[in-house]
Amino acid sequence: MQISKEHLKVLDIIVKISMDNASRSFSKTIKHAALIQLVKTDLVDISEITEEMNNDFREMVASILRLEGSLNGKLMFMIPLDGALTLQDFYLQEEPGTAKEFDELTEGTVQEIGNILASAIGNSFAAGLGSMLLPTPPQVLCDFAGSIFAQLIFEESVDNDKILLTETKFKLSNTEIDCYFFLLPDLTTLEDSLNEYEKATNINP
Amino acid sequence: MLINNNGNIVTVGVGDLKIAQSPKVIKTSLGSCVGVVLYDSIQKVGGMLHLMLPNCNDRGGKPAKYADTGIPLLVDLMVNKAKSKKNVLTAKIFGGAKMFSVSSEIFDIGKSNITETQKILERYGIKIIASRLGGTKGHQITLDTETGIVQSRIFGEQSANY
Repeated sequence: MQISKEHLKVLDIIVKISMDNASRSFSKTIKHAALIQLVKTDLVDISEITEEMNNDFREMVASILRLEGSLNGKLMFMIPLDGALTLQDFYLQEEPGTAKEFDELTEGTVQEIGNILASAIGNSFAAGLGSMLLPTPPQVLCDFAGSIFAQLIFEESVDNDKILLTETKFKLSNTEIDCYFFLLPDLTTLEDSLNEYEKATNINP
Repeated sequence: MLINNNGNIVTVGVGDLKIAQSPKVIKTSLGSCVGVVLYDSIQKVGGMLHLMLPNCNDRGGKPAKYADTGIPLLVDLMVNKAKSKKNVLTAKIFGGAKMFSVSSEIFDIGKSNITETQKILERYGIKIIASRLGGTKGHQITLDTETGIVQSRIFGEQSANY
């Protein structure tokens, strides 16, 4: 798997713009500030990145979607199980502590946040590309962080030892809840999309 | 991510393998992948392989991604690096879950991983003395190289020792 340094820089800029938009949509939806703590785009070794994830013992809920159109890829929103209950209270505008157990409402909340973040990313890319990028319906997984992440990267890892990954970490303000958003762009469509994006936006890395 | 690591914990990622000696513990998290644990009770040395596919089929890349190239590599490490005798090695295998409820072949790879792993270990004459396989949820496994016991935790279930 290869991507030029120039295109990596362009992708990093697009992702930062996208995550800024995503953060605003996320905050507006839950009526609570979601602060971006980290945005990182890099080619990562599958063993090293999953080793890092396997050191995270927490149980997580994740919403996985595919992005289809001019640029294909996979997106995942992931939050610790206890954090998902707080997120549910924010989303449904309930008093904190109302949601006690993971149920359909929690699952629906995580799905919806995944949709919102995916749409924000899709819109940011589509704005530059001038074409439609649509997220597929989300699939929710409730499992260990390492097991979920391994499934996210599985297909890409079959033929590649390194994958292109963007990682964004949010913190919900006035809470200790961290949540994560991952984007795995498909390199075969990324190259063309970035060329178009460069032309349309005059971004020079 | 949240790091709960210390000097005695060795973590294995996807398509990787590691060996360690007492008092270290070796751990990984599995989905449809299979975790192969080899243990030498004489030297108190253990090895763990985290494989994701049954066969290499000339694909290249990391040999530890595949059962048919990863297991020979793990055996080789235990025998030639840790100086374990092959006839004292025992195996325990875990994982191979079907994480997504879709009919796509790629998401049903867990079953093929399990079958190929069992076949290769049999070919090497290494006895599988314990296993916890299949299901639809992920596994966390931790090998204590002092005792050879593997603690297996499946999401939503009590952890159990194997």
